[in-house]
Amino acid sequence: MAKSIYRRLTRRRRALFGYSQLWAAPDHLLLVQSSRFVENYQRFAFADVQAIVVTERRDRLVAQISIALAAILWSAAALAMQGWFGRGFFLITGALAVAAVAVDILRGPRCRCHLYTAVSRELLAPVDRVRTAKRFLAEIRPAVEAAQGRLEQAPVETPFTPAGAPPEIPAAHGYLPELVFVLFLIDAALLLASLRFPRSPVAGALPTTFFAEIVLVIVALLRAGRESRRVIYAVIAAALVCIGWDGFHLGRSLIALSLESARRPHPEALMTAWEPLAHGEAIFAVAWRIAAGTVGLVMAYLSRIA
Amino acid sequence: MTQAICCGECSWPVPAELWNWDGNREEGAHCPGCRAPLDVSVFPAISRARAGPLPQALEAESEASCFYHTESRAVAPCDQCGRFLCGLCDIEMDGKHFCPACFNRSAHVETRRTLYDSIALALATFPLALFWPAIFGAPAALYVVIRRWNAPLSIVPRTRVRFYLAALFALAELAGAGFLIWAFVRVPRLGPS
Repeated sequence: MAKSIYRRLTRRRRALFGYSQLWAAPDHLLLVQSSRFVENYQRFAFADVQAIVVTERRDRLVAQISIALAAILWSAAALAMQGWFGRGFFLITGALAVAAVAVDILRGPRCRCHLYTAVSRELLAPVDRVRTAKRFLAEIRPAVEAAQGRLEQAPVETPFTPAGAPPEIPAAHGYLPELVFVLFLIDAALLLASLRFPRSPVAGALPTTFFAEIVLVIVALLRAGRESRRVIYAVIAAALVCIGWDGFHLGRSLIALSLESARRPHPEALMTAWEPLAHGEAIFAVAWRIAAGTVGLVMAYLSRIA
Repeated sequence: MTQAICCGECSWPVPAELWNWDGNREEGAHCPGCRAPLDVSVFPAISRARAGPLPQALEAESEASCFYHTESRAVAPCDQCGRFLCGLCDIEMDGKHFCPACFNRSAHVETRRTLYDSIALALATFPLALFWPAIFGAPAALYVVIRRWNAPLSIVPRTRVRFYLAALFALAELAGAGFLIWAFVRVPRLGPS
């Protein structure tokens, strides 16, 4: 087999249906974009490269820690399991999620890398970490300079660069936090109703509303970086911990119910008598929801009129 | 005018003072727009003119004209077909001059390749997830392996291991299918007779 002229510069950056990778030839850079069954190639001659811009992206440590905590809580559900299959499932899936977050943190800060030629501005997707970008630049910069020489001074006719920083654009506040707080209050009302009327079908709706709570809280926390109302998101983050606590007890109750129903010949009666949370746990769930919902709504209102 | 070098986060133009920022300085370069840390490497090609030479109009009837633009003065003949070319049509590459037609014919720059080894491997493995479709997937995978064995792989280094694996899986699946058919036909049915 003939020796290839290409030398690997970066690892494959995998996506759902393919990957992209950078390779270097003696006189050009090759960007390979694969859709698994077909590869597309883009070549950039070193003599034509005008600039390479690496921009470090905002860190997402809060989101990473939130996901890791959620994964740990998920793994903790294994403690409530009786059988080895259930324990293994929760432990393995939780450990995988924690490992994914750990790998993401260990890979270091994220970045975007753009390559400029006279006719294009191309995003080099495989260069997505600062560490990779440093290695990439250490290899590419000498090759481009060997083809073009060094730029001793900026061209006389420099492109348009506005003076000073751009004007501050006020971020528009979304209504997602308010929605989350209203959902807390609705769930508190549902929980109270299920406590007052234990035989009513209200309890059956709770797993669904709990799930909606979790999804909305996670989405709200992921979008928190765009907003300036930090205190509201601190309330939501605290609520997430309480949701984890409720979820743990709810999961334990569900598992106990399923095990008991498997043993009984007529599980229908068991279903109607099911209480998702014990009395003390239910009181706690109602209390924190009312507190978080009320405080959150008041703070959201105050921040809007301020 | 040269094109603006922009921040990758906010697209705010990066001023020339931040180009090729010396990494030894205490504070790194930051985008004036979003304050994101930047590393801007700019090379001499930034000052290269974007447009090529413009064609010149004929001044006398005795002057040679471009084959494609009869009112433009020829500046060079095509090294492939000999046609006269104006400044617009002349494509210079490695010291040689080409007309657009000859450049298109001679340039063999691949921008796309089909990866038959990956297709064969997918045909051999994906249908196996649904079990019965493997009866069709395995022969199809074998066909692709045999038919496309000599087809060029990726232009970057890549081994034929996917072809080998696809053939191995496909043969194993066919053998398994054959065994199952034999078992159904040969083994006497159990139960009360």
